[in-house]
Amino acid sequence: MTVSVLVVGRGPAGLLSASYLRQRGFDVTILADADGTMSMWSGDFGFGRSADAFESFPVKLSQSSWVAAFQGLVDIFDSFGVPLRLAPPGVILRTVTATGNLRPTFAVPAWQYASVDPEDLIIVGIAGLADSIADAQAVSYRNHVRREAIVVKLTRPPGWDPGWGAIRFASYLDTRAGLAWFTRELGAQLRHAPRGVPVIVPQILGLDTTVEIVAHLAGELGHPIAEFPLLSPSVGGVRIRDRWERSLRRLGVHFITGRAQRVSPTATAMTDDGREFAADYVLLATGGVLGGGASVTIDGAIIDDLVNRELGKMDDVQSLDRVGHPDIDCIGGGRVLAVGRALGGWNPNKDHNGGAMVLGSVHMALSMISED
Amino acid sequence: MRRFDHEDSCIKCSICVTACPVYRVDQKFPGPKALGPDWYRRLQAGQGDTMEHVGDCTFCQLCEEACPVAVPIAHLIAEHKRHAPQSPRLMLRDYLLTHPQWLAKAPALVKLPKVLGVPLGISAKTRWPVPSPVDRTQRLHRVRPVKNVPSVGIFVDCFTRGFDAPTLAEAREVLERLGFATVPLPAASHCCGAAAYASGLLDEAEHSARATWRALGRGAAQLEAIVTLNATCDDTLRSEWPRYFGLELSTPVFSFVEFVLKHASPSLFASLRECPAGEVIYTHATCRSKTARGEGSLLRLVERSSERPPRVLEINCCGAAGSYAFKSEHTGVARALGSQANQVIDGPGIILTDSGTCAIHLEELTGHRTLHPARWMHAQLELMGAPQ
Amino acid sequence: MRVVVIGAGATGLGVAWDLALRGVDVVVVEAHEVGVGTSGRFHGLLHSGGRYLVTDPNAAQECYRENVLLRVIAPNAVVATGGYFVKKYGDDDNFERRWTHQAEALGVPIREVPPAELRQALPMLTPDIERAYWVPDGVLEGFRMLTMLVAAIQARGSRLLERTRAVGIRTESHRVTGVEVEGPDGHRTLDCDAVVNAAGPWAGLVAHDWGIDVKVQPSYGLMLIFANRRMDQVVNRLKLPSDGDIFVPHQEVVILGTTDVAQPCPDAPEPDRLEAIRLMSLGAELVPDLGSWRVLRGFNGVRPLYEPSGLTDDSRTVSRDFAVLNHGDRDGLAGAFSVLGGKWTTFRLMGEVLGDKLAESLDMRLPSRSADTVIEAHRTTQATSRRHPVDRGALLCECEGVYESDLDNETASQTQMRFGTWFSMGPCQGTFCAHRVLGRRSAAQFAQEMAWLRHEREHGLNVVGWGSNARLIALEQATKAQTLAEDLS
Repeated sequence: MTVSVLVVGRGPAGLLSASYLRQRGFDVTILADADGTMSMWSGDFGFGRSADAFESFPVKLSQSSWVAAFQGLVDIFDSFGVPLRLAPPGVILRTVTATGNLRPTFAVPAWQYASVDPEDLIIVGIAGLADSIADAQAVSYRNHVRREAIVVKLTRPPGWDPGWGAIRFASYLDTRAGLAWFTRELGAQLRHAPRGVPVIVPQILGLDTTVEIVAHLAGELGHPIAEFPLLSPSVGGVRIRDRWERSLRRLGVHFITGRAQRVSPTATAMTDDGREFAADYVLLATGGVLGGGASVTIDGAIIDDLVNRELGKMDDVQSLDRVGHPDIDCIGGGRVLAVGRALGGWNPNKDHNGGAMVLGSVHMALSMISED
Repeated sequence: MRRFDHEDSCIKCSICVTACPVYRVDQKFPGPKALGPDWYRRLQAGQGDTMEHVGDCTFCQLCEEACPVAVPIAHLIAEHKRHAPQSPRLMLRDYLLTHPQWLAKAPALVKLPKVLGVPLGISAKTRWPVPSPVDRTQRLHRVRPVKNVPSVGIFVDCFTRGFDAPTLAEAREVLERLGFATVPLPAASHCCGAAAYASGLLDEAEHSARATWRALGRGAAQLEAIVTLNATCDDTLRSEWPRYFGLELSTPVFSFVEFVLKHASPSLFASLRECPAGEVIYTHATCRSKTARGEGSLLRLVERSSERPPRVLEINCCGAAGSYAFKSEHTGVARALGSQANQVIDGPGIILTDSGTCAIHLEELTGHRTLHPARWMHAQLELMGAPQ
Repeated sequence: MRVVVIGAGATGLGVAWDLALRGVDVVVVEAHEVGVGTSGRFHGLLHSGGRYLVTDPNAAQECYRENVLLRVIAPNAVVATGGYFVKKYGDDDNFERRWTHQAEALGVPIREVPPAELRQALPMLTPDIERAYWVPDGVLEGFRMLTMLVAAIQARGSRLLERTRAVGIRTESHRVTGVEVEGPDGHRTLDCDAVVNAAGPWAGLVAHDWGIDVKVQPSYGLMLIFANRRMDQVVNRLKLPSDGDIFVPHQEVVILGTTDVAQPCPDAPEPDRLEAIRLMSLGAELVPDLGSWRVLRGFNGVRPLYEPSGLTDDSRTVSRDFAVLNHGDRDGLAGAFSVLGGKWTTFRLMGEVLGDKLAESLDMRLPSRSADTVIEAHRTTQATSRRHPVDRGALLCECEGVYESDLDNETASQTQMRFGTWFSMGPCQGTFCAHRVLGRRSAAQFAQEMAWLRHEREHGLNVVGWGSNARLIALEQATKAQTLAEDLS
């Protein structure tokens, strides 16, 4: 008899759980009332501190499990066409933000810029793209790493209007005309730039054809080229979300739309329109306050309505992003498990370990399900 | 100005923009956030100048489903449409197109657009449905609930009534096979209001909805359930009626797919799976069936009933969207959306979808036969033979 | 004839405007930026006087007169929304009687409103309303008025010196001859014939610098901003003015006010979460569904109340009226004046009264013209909407519709720009627009300006962290810390 798992939530933790579970042959249903936070996020897995992170991590996994988890992550992303670059053991990659800061990470989609050591960069600014502030970004970058940051600027594309956000730019670059425009303009700007210096561009290099666009540009321009992520909605996150959900559907994961209202210790979920979904296990991948897995009342109680549990008080938390269930084993003696970046009081914002937390917690939950 | 729950909850994450199918194919479309919550906030502040492209929204509601803070984005956009100026010519057209109950009464009228429609702004390109023979659709017999047999109502939507008699007939046979007597409802042609709502004609939508609700109310109370054949009508009855018009039904509403999944026995599914696998099945849960209940049910129905795993057509909204594709200014977007199905289709097969207008649209754009799941289930049951 | 005015809030600019119209050469010195004090931190009510009919008849009468006048002379900064006073069952009948009586006595027009009309206009109000009255309340768009006043004053040859602190005065034989200031250009003395202390809650400190004792009673009030303009008229509770009893629709938002807490210092304290919760429950007495309204932030404003008899614990009892002190008569320092207390609504009148006293003491025959001179709309407030869409550049702030072309004025301070455009003040509270706007202003100052704005936004946001606003806060924190890695900078 196939073991059934109901995953509540379709953010990074929900989709990752579904992938691993399906790989292992479980019958997987995803129940969600909204998109998850996938498209708020560029798709790199944050990992700030290495040594002491493992010490205080609420997820206890052996070294070998971590290695397996990392490799599994690369395989899953690979299966739906997103090449992931993994940091070498003991090393942290740093990716550059839209404001020129550096963020530590351990796994980055290959289209996103990341490096182990700081290097000179060419930063591309794009007129008409609100999030592109290349001059300010370059100043920040120089101040942080004491390396050169050369700014080149592109003019607005034909057909542009003030409402064009990153998604619109990306759709345009997916077209033949858009790619030709971009290649021509960037080529002209790079004519006098020092050869071989990596070029970073705002994350607009297509939604569907990014891998091809990056290869094309690198070939045409003679510079390594990669993107830096922008804010929500993240083109990188949308690329991954679309490919990932499509592949899960193909693998037979059932997507159900509905607002879960209550999850019982016997692994049954009730929706607000009266439907009932019974499974052998429920994974709560509902996120913390940001994902909607916890709500805050006016008087400051932070509550997970699904399992009717108070997770904290506003007066006690410095960061709302850290609010989550204290433990993976949530209710029902191992039948309802909580996964995700907000877990155990860990602060993913402070330590930049949200990605590691998602990965680690999903693995831990998997091992708990598999052991039964 | 109408008021909505969560009208002011937008946190500007713009996830709705990433979920919008029109935004991806139409460079001029400002997207759901700009047209919905951003515009509505200005409207409340007395600066509600309408935006040029608001009419290009298909009202698929995928934005609304994606929203993490439950902003009724699509319904705010419908309110925006209501405020947008429309030329008298297009107003006339919209008024006609959003009263499909009239067309359902006299389906032969669809032959007129070729002559009269184009000047009215009706697309010459979009394929129109073929009317069903009148005798099978117009005279829905008042079937009284049968004693000792559980009875369910089948909500006969305008499309099914006017153009898709076989789906109604075969859906009834499937449900009877599951042990239910069926009662087609309502007796006369009524529209649930979905078409008018999608075009921003909210008063007309409410008027239609109220009339339908009254027509349903008489017979429905004695029934176990009302089963719908069209996902848009299904969602309209279930969520828009109570939320926006205050119309409650005492009888629970199920889509055909969900109802069959709930009531067919495991042994029936097991027997179905033993039948020789037929053609490749491509499933397209319509946008409104995704937003209301999720696409998982259609997928599961096909998985349970056939050995051959179904393929999912990876399109969010096919562009038919009720009357949307019939409006000439939307032909391009509607065809761009529906044609995306061809990226998945790589061989012969049939498409299953839970809306008649989507079916003819997809059939035209893919060249693949497109059916309601009820008809496919019916065929599977025929294959299987008599009940055991 | 030259006068230095200390303080560029509503009071100082009102004084400067009145004096400039009399042909006086005015220099306004502002320690920070225009409107960063009380004038930029109020609920936006253009008083009809209704609120003070019983407790402060003089203030009520002045408010009504100025209300009528401002509609004529500053139509671009005033919105005649109208307002209601509503009496709930159980509220003091006696107060209502006194209130209606006073309205008639003082000439403030009120009109009893049938319940059906009230429900039509404001369906969100509690059904527990026994009686309601319409009053000519309105909305005074403070940011816009300040911008207009600055432009109007400058157009008449007067000057505004921001980030310039008045540190002392120069006197000759007990007469003021100059004001010593410290600003971007260092220390200098501005020669003048008179100086006006219009420093609002800081007026006591300014006077102290002159060796004069002036009893200013600062009292702060917490206000909550709701994301959408969910009501179109002002709503007051018909009872003794108290906490949480007034809603003011202001442009795209609604503001609920206020608390009233006396404090010794003039600076606005950080808003407090428990006070915000209390204000919510008070507001819910009028709007039962208030908990479902998206709240954006809380902020404190400091009233510069004047209490001739000294400090008090109960600031509600201190008059809302204003006072003009001629320190020549009062303290033997000729040419020095203070304008104290008052309301935004009466800013012009304060300028006129001060101007009259000043003119009289300097023996000038210069009548006030501020009552019949229109304050023109500032040209840039409408410039953007006339542009061709593509010329506006990228849309930077989606909440308030701020485009690249709105940042034309490179010399404007961040605060001025925010007052002018409202960027970062909408539903995202700067989460998505702060870097877009500040990154275009100055690459060199970018990191500093970002840090300052984030802090400024967060301290107002975090006190109202519930409902969907909690989700926004979590998104803001994640965007700042993760997507932009600002904490690592």
